[in-house]
Amino acid sequence: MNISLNKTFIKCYCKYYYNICLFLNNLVAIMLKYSVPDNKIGRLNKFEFFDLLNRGKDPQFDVFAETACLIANCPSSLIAMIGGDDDFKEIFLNLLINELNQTKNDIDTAAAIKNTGDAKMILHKLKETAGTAGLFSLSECALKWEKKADDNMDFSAMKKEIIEEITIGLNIIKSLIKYNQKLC
Amino acid sequence: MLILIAEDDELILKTIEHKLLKEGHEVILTRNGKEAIETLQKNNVDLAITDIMMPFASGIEILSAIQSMGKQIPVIMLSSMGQEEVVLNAFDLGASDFIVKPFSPSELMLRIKRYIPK
Repeated sequence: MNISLNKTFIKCYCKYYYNICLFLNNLVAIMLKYSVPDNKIGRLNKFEFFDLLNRGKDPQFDVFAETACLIANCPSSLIAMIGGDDDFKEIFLNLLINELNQTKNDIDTAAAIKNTGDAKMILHKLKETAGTAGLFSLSECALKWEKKADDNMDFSAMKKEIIEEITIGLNIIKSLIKYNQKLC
Repeated sequence: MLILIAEDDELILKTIEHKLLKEGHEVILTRNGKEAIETLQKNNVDLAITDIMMPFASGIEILSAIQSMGKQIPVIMLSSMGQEEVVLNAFDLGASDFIVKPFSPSELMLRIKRYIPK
């Protein structure tokens, strides 16, 4: 089967599924239903054993990874960044929430005074933060507006779109935190 | 090793710090280019990890400052997609390595190991 066509189909389907999940606001329930298996550490070790962790980008693996991430609604980069380090997970997720909230305020200010330089810098940073956390839709949105950032930019449209994507990202992260707390 | 990290993204900064501390390194955190240059002047750092685009001074300016100080410090650049030209410029100015964001911290740790004296 054509891998790239297959990937496009899965991406479209997954994005649709992802939005439905958010609107239904039942992420925690879904994740609790498919709770973390008891042998989580063993599974991570197996991944490590087969050298499947921290690999470079592989389009064939990405199809499966993206599908799994969207079904579980868990950004794939989180496992790459945190690995099996549960203590760091909470610090990482809380830090991410602070950063996204701060960016919301910064974007608001930059848009209010139509400061192109500041907007460009904030969008660049947001693109990297979101990419690091696996919030790819937010990262792509920030990249799109970073490229468009000039004095003629529609600041109000940029602000609206970015804040919407940040809100989606924050909901995912908050759900993950809730899920972790329920497990403990 | 004493490692300086210059990064304005708190998430990346703290993640790298966490991994480096776990590996037993000492870490100095800086959140903009100016702060990084001042820290490099005052401390004998063994390795620097720096972002390219930062407030007040860029990663490229940090490289130039290290050259002007006459210090021989290996520098790993953290770059974004689309910054290939800047990375080439960084190599001209003495950068030792670069890694594209988003990156896996484990990959960064492997690259750092190359600079640990045996």
